[in-house]
Amino acid sequence: MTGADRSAGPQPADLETPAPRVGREVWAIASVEALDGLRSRRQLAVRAVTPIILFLCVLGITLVLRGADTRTHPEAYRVAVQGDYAGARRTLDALNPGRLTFFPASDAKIAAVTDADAGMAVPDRLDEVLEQGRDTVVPVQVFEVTVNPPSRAAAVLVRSGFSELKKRQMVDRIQAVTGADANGFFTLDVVNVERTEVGTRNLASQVIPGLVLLQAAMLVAGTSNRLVSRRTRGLLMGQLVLPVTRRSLALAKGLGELVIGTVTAIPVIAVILAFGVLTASTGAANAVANLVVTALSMLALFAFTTALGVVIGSAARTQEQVSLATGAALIVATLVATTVALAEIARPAWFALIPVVGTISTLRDLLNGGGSVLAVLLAATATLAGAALLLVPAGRSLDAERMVMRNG
Amino acid sequence: MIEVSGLVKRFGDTTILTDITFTAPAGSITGLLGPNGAGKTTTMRVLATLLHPDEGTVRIAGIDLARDPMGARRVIGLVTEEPGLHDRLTVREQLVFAARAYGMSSEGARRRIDTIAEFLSLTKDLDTRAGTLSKGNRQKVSLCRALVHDPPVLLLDEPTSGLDVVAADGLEALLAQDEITGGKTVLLSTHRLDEAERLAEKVVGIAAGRVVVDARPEELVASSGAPSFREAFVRLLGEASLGATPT
Repeated sequence: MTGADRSAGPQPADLETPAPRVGREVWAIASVEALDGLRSRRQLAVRAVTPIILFLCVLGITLVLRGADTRTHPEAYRVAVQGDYAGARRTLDALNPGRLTFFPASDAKIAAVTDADAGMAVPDRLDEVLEQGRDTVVPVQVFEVTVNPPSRAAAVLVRSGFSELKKRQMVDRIQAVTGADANGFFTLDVVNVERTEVGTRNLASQVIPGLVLLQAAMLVAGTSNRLVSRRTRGLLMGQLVLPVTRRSLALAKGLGELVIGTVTAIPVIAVILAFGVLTASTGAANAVANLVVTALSMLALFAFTTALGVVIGSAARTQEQVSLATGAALIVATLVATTVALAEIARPAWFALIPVVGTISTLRDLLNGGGSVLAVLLAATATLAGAALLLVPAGRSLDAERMVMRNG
Repeated sequence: MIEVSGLVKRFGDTTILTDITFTAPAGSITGLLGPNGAGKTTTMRVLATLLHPDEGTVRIAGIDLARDPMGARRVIGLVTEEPGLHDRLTVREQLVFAARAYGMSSEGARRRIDTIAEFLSLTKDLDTRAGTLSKGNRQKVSLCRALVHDPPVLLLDEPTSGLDVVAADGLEALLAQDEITGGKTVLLSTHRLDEAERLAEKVVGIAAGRVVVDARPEELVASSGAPSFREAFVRLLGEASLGATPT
């Protein structure tokens, strides 16, 4: 067939008018990029685990150099007493005096999780029973909130107080029978050393921003490597003939990589959540707000480093250049992460406006209890603006002419 | 229709295309022939809006490339030597995403894909990952992707290059089908003269960045006095190369 009789034409296609729906086009390209990346399980695993390993080294150094902030519980534990409170006062006053304070409650179980550190239920006339009927079995219940360290400590102190009481009774009886001094008994004291809120905050403020930054840095490497790899496989050429602007193409690729990056960050996100729970369990205020702000900062950082990866991947001529550039980015990120973890210097307010560094710094300040949510949001906005600006050179670099000039 | 007039393309100080002028009529296949390095791929890339012309005008289906490159991209389907498929995606996924990128609805895309896949005998491979396909089938998928938005203009840049004889013949047979390319303006860049002779209504020969032949195959044979299209073309190309002043 030579084409002379080719006037028949195709069957009418089931096509909509290909209106310029930029959003749909961008999402279609982003979906391809994301799906292709998410199906490479080996790459995903490497990208997910590497920052964790890297940061463990950083954290190890941090902890060795600084240690964790701890303290002995400073105040007496409050124990709610259900039952005949008045009839048990003498006994209660003898239980670890100075370490425990008691108050009456109608329901000690409820009080143990609301007003008190622990609770207990005593029978009627406890003092009288213990003093008169020394061999009587007296039922006393202790209520503790096991997941709460101060509650566990209070309950242990109550039990050790009763042991001490029983010991003294036995000593008295032995002396009464033998007339001799009874020595060689032990005394039991419980000292509750707890990680303080300050210590937890300090640790979290060191770990979280650094970990987030390292995870974000991995996006530079992943994005740029994938871009060059796809270019050499002829995938980019097919995308360049699609009816989208170069900047939209850069945005689509960035969005796809952002999805992949967020999925690979799941272990890091889990660590952050764990720290959030830890912070909340120590009674730190605004734990939820801190988590939300941390998530926003993470997203801003990921957007920036992904955009940086798109710039490197589209501008680099060879895989070697990509490796060099991303290696440099990772080293810089590690240095910043270590500095953030260790530095105690006060930073000026305008520091928040520096993309990436500002976000990391303000996030650390916030998690350490010294910063403000507004500063973190401002820093995240500056970082996002930086990401948007990076798309301009990225869009310019995603150009077939430049590729021909570069690759011949 | 494709209209190229006075096209000049330079990379730095090197002029790759010098005053390229030709037309590819609507509803027919035009062969773009020439030896390696003649400028075929550069010409195709300019037509596909991948490269910017330094001089001259190019109109694709009436759209001036310089004025409306995005509009031109909507009416072009491009097949290159390298299929450029995502290996981890199934054939259907790639085609659906391509259709969506051209602004088609999911439902419209599905129906169109089913229709074209049937014509190209790709139905059984639609849910197969592209990475497991033979090179011939990968090129079919590439053709399917180029057709998914039903473009009036099809640019085929050495689509059978790198294929074995059987796969190349199969793809050539598909390109000859009205259901695939009928009614479309097709520009087929190839260095296979027999392929061009069989498929093309008209051939444009390029050597050293210049158009040296612009005729129907039978006219070329008649005017040159050569016994075959191949000999006529090679003879003309040789004369042009000797007389050309590469820049």
